[in-house]
Amino acid sequence: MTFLAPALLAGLLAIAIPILVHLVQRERKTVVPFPSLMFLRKIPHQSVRRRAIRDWPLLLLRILAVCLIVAAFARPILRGTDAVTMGAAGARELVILLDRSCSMGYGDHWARARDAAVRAVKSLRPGDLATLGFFSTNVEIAARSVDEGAGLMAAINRATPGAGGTRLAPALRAASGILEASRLPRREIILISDFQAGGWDRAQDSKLPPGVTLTPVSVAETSTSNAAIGTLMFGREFVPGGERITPSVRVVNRGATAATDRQLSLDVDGRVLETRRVSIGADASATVTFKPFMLATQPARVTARLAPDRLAADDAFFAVLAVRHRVPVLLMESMNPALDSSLYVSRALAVGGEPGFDVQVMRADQAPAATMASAAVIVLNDVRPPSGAAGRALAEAVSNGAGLLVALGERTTWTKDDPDLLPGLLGPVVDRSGTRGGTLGFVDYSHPAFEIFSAPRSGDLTAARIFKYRRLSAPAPARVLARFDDGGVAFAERRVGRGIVLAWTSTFDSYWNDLTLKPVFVPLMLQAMKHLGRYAEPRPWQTVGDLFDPAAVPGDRPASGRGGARQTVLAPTGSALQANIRTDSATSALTEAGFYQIRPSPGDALHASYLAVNLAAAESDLTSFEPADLVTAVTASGTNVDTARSLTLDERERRQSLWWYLLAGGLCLLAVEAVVAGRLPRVLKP
Amino acid sequence: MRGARFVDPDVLARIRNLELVARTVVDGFVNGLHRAPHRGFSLDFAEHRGYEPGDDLRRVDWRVFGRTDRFYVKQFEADSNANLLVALDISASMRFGSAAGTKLDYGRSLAASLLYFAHQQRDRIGLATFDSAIVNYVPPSARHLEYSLYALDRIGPGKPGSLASPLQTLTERLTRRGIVAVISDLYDDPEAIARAVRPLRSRGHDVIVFHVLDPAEIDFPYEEGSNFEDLESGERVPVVPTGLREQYQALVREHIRVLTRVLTESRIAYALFRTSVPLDHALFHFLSARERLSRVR
Repeated sequence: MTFLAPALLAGLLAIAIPILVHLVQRERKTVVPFPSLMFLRKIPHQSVRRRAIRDWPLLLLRILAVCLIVAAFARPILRGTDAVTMGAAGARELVILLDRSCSMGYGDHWARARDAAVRAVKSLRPGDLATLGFFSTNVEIAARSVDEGAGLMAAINRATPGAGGTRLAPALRAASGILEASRLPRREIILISDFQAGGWDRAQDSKLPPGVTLTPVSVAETSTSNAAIGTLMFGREFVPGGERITPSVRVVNRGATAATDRQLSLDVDGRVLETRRVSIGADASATVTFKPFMLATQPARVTARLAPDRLAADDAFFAVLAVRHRVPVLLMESMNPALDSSLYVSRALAVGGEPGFDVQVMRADQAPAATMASAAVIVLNDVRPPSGAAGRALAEAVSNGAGLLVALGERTTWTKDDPDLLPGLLGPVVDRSGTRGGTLGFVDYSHPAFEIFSAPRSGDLTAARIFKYRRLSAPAPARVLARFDDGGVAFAERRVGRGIVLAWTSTFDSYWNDLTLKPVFVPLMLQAMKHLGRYAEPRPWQTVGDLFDPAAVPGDRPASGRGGARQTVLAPTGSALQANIRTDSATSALTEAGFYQIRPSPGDALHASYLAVNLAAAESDLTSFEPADLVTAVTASGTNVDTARSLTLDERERRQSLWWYLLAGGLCLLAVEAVVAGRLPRVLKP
Repeated sequence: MRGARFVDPDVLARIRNLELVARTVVDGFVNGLHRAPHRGFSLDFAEHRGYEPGDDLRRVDWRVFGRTDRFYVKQFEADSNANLLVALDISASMRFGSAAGTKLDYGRSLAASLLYFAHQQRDRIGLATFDSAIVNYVPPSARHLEYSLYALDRIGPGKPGSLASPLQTLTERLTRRGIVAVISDLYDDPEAIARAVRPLRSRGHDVIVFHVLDPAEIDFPYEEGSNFEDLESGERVPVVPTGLREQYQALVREHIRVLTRVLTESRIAYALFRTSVPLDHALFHFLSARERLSRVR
């Protein structure tokens, strides 16, 4: 038997009360009226103090009543029921799942979790097998099906909370797999966690096999206080000499008490930019804007730090602010272009700010190979593709990753001698001007170029009238992205090497269609250019658990820095993580929060680039859910789940409700005591 | 009749056939069951005495003169109604009772029974209640039964009591010899009690002392150590009953023994009444004993 509130057992000292009453109080307070003390005065006086306890049954009744009432207030819990419901005796396959996510670093959560794990190991009997697994975002099996606890203890003592998020489902699936392979009669999972509400995705199917007992051990606290940095925001403005960056820090307080006068500082490349003090109310957030700084040619490492609280890990936030690069676009047109053949394209690309486009317009037969090689996107605007060396240079540029946008008009010819870049075979002109033109009848809105128009009222591509277009057959592997209402191909795409070729079967002027005059034209062009140029907004930071791809490191340009080099990756803690990254698929998970340093070679710190990694925002939310809900959800009907053991102490106490019986028993004893005391020989009454 | 509740019919049924026989003859004007202390006109011959000047010649027994040639006067025992005065102690100590009733209740019933019984015998009855002094006094009269019972019914809160002063007052007030029944718990020195009662006896009254005690006062059956409070003085004494019960009982026995001796020596009747004993039973035995004593004498 254990007690939910053992401190209240101090109330057993109240047993002394009836004893004292028996010995002292009663005779001192009882007054017996007597007609005359004439005879009593003649008798020598004797001590009034009792030398022995009389009415032992009465005293025992009172003591027992006090004991029962005190025990009731201490809320007893019978452990015997656990043993009863443990099922048949026999060896046990035990899987201990210990949560080492970042949130376990809050207060004494980790210490209590480790103690619970140690207790679980100590519960092993001869013949039992135990598996120890640490989990956060992923699951790490430290020891599998071992029968001695020393190794498990050592692993538990070595473990520390990591930076990962809480994900219960993978851990339970891993434990299920281990237990399914076990042949021992008793199979049990002890899940030790703070049961963060964000750690359990109820939509995930994580049913345990029949016969598996799940025992959750929660270290969560009912009331927590935690302030964290939610995010970093940057206001960017191009000024002469670079960009002026105005950083803002959003501080979130997820606790029930206000965080007052906390120090908040912002570092840029290791230098403190500014320190402010901030107060945030309970369950509220605040945004603090710092003074601006200049970003010139090198990425800046920005760190926001909040004065540490009980969960210090989420009190720092990291970001790498990359220098923005403009996308070079080469626009090639024919020798005698129409007046507005490239006007609309140029103006549309000039509008773009994120990213900006540097548009260079040239005649197709005059474009140098070097220009084509340096362009991120090449536009063939109603012109025959260059031939000869220029044609080969074009094909090589596309093959190396440059994008190619082809507008097919009446001046466009594409013979077999031309580079094999067109997504299909070019056909004759289709004139639909006699029928007031056609419209786009089908658009693949899943394509990045059209995705922004997929939502209702976000742009009507079918508003444009198409009077003429070039027929294009687009056999596989070309992909038709849009068709006219008569079935003709409007947009088709093809991949050539690492490059993408997008063909528009009409022109970018206002003669063959009025698409250029429609509101959707500018965003369509910008999206198409981003897609063709493989432009991706550099992420200032990534999250722990994300896969690490060196190609995504800001400043590591896809065309120049990809592969081939022996890179060295240093984790934020300084440990050298030698990553032989030779292919695109060579990725690894980010496990620490802070700045990862990626060096081109082990000793080249000068040209190192950085990657900021932050904790998952959900880890700062310490709100927990009821473990019993997890037990109910993951155990199928008919599963031999030990519901008594799977409950917390509080729930087990509520279910057993022994206190009620003890209290009732104590009160009954008091009633019996009153009756007995009333029937004892009493001659006190006159 | 107000106050008749004190006269238990069952009690009266038990003692109706008894005569309340005074041990000495008292003066009276009504022929009754009591013999008067003076010789008078009656059918019962008493004795002869020598003629003295002034005697009525009609009372000279001429037959005796013929045999003895001397003048003797023939005397008869004249029956008369007697005075019965019940003196009831209503002091605070009489309000003690360990059973259903207190000593005062018991004494009140006893007084009412005696008064009613005497009234049935056409005796003159009176009542005096006292504590440290006379509280209420109903002079003896053949028509004072109602007044006496009313006075019994209206007994108020008592004060600390004593016998000397009130009995002295009664001695002075009672001019006609009769029966005086004193009902009290007699918490005083036996010699002092005797000194208080003797004047009544000296004035020719037939004095009966009814000593009323609760069984708890005699047996002292207490178990718990407690503070014992004197009902009259309010004084408290811590007492361990188990340690002194025997001594207490011995003191009470000695008190009763001395009382019996000193009162008997003074020719004063003494009777101990326990409130646990039914009143009719106790009264029956007492009057029987009185009658036997009367015949012997």
